[in-house]
Amino acid sequence: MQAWLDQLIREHGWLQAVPAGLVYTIAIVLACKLVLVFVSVIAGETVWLERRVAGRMQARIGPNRVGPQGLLQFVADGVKLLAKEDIIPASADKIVFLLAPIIVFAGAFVAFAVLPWGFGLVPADMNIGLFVILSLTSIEVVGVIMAGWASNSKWAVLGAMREVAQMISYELPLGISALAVVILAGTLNLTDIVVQQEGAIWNWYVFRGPFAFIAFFIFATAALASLKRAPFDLPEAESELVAGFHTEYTGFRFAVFFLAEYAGMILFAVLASVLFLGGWSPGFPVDLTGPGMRWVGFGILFAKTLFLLFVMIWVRWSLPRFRVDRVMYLCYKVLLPASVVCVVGAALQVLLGASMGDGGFAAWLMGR
Amino acid sequence: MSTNGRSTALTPSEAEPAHELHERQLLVGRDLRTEEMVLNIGPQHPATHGVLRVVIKTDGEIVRALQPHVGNLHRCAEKIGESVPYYQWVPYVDRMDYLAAMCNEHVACMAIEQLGDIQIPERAEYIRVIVAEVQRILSHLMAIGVYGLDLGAFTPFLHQFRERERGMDLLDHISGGRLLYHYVRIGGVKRDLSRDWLDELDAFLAAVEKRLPEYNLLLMENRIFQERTCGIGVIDRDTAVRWGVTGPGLRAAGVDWDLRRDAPYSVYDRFDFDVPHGESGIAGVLGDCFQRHWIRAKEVEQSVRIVRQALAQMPEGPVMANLPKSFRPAAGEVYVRGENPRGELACYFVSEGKDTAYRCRCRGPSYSNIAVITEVAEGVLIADLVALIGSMDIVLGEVDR
Amino acid sequence: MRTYLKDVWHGISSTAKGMVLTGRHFFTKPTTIEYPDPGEQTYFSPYERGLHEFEPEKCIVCHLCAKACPVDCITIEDGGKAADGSKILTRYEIDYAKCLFCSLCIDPCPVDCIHMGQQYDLAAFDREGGVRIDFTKGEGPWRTAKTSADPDAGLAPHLARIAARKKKGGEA
Repeated sequence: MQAWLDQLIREHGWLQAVPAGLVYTIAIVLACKLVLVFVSVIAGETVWLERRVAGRMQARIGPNRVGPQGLLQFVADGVKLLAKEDIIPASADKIVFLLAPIIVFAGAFVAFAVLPWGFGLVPADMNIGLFVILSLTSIEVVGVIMAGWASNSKWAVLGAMREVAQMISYELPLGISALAVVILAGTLNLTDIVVQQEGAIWNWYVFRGPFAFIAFFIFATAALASLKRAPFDLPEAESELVAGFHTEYTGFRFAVFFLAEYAGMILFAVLASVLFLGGWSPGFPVDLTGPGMRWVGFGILFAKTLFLLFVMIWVRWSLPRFRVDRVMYLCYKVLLPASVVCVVGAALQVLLGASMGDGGFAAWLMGR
Repeated sequence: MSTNGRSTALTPSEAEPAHELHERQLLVGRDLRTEEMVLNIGPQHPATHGVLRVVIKTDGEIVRALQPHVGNLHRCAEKIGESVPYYQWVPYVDRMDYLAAMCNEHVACMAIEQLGDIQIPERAEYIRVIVAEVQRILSHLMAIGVYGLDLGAFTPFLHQFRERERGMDLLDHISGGRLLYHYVRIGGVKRDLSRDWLDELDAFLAAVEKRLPEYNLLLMENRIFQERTCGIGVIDRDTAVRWGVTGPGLRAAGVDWDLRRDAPYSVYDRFDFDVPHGESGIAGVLGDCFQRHWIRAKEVEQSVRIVRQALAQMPEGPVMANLPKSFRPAAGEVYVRGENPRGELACYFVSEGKDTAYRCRCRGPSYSNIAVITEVAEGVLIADLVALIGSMDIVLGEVDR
Repeated sequence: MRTYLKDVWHGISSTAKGMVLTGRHFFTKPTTIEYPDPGEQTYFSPYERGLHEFEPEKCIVCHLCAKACPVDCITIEDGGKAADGSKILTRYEIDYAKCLFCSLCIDPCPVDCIHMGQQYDLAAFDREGGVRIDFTKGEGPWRTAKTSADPDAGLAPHLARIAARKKKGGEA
């Protein structure tokens, strides 16, 4: 991004009168705003996708009246939620109550600044990109506790307690399975991770050995649990605790929680695509680094994200809900040991020189 | 048991539960004081199958004491039974267990006919069995789907609506109503079945048989469902008998008892069918939530079997007996019971020779089925509580009447 | 250890099988149809117990329907006798807040002037106009020539609509 900005300054002379730092700042703010708007719209359309896919899986149609094929449904939902009465429980802790949705929203959206949407299409290309994403999404946990506590309702507190236990626990397999890819790649920089997967489809980390393959599924499951999506949706278990930690939120504050959940879905779908499924590379060798071609790469990454979103929705509507102790069992006794095995295996792979791309793993297997 | 002049021995709802704990449990650390939380579930709640209010004392996630508060749907059905003529009371019976309306009507009309010594034509008996078993299929499909919904599996809930819709269209076609039929009348049934209807019934039975394995795949064979229901909410034989649990709850406890086979009414003694009951061979523990669910799925298959036999055996003839213009049964009393999808529904009538009953009393199975959770729910997690209440498959219309 | 691995495998395989089923449903035509537009009328059954259809010209004001009603929701008033000795019906009101839709009022009518129809929708903009329907004032649902002998009279256009919808698709 910085190189592109420098080129822009060189081309337009009047920009050179402005201090470079200011240009960078304004550019980054604009880029982040663009990403924010884009992600919000896509989160809204993910709601549409979820409801249509859920409908078809349940032998019914799903919303198709508002706008063409129902695509404007999220606008109608947003307007409806905006028009609702803003109720704050009398006994609620007001400041914390009002801050909680903001913190959850921030935790979900801030991480998008580091996600590469194409070569160079990233607002802030950080060398520790993956680490930043994983730590920023942990902010949501604080927001959830605040929401549950401030609501001053037993149901909300129960939901918040369950949610905290779940989210914090699942960050372990999430991070460790991502670590397997980091070990194979040798870098935390997301753009570099994708660049290393360019070329044939066997370069994708998911195919580079059994450990990364299993790590992909561990990452996906842990991401679902971190997002509080079914089958791990006890915090919002409608049939048990009404709505869990956001029971007492109405109107637009509820919409903020809702949006944060879907934005988180998109985040992890893009992240999984970037880490495991080759990012913006289509599976055959093609140069997508040029200023025009990188938008083609964006499209490819978007398609992969859509596919992963579809799988997330598919899983939600096929399975019952886990109970809280089974969620913990799954995390600590199934996913965590498996992810540690994946990391150790990936490290062994690198040690034995079998992590190279271009079919390197296959070559190593065949003894060459 | 002394009743203190009341009609039942049950304590009024304001009284403290007898098993309330008086000690502070769980002093984990020396200075850590933990309190039990009193939670109120309902009466408006997505998981209580109606307007049921349950007050629980929980210790974190574990339920220590539980008391259901019923009566939110009381509509004085029995009092009305004592105020209007018999034939005008039959529409009210539909509304008690509104998911098994034909079965309710069947039992009530049998009771009134026994009171008035009326013989109904044989074809009417067969038609009653057919619609009662179709209704049983619909009710069990609903129970299966809603149980999935309680546990978070949203999809089978909507799939079962597809089969239920066909069945409801069938029953709508002959009676005029989708849920509340007023089809089984005193003296027989309202109207005969047409050839088209019987063909559509065959198609419906085939569709149900085809789809039942799908529900089992999404629910009973699913690992998460099994983890949520196996070993949860075990109602053993003694508890079930002591609390008067009937229906799938009783059979899951291992008691091989079905009124259709063991105390046959109508023409049920002419059919050959199995009575699924809890066994230790299938997944789960005897008397747990999984076995109750499994029994309902198996009973659907048996109901299909009964309907097919009834269709083969049904004779031609009238479907309504000739009733006197004014129906005044002789003085006496009668107690008739039938096997509803939820258990044993019984009607008790006392007649003084007038056209209105002197005493009308219905024994709804869901009342006992929900009372048993007072004893069984101690020590379960809150998430299991929902699984437990859902597995009892109660309908509040029947609990409260 | 073996049971542990077996359990994990069972979890994965049952999940996968369930997902295959829902995936199959995703590619199947849905069984639901679009909600019918306000003008269209759905047809349920010849004996459907919807809102009443009453023919005041035929009524002989015998009160048998009002006596048969379990909830006493029918109010009948007559205004004296006409020249040929028959009673004049001045008010025939059904209180739909009480009506059970049980159809006990249909059976005793000696002149076949009351039936139950296909309509079920009593939506109105004010409480008075929506609950107590006075058939003598022209209120109430559409009237047809339906009689007990010919329950499908006047329903041909609706049956045609249902047949067309069935043909268009969906597991109607």
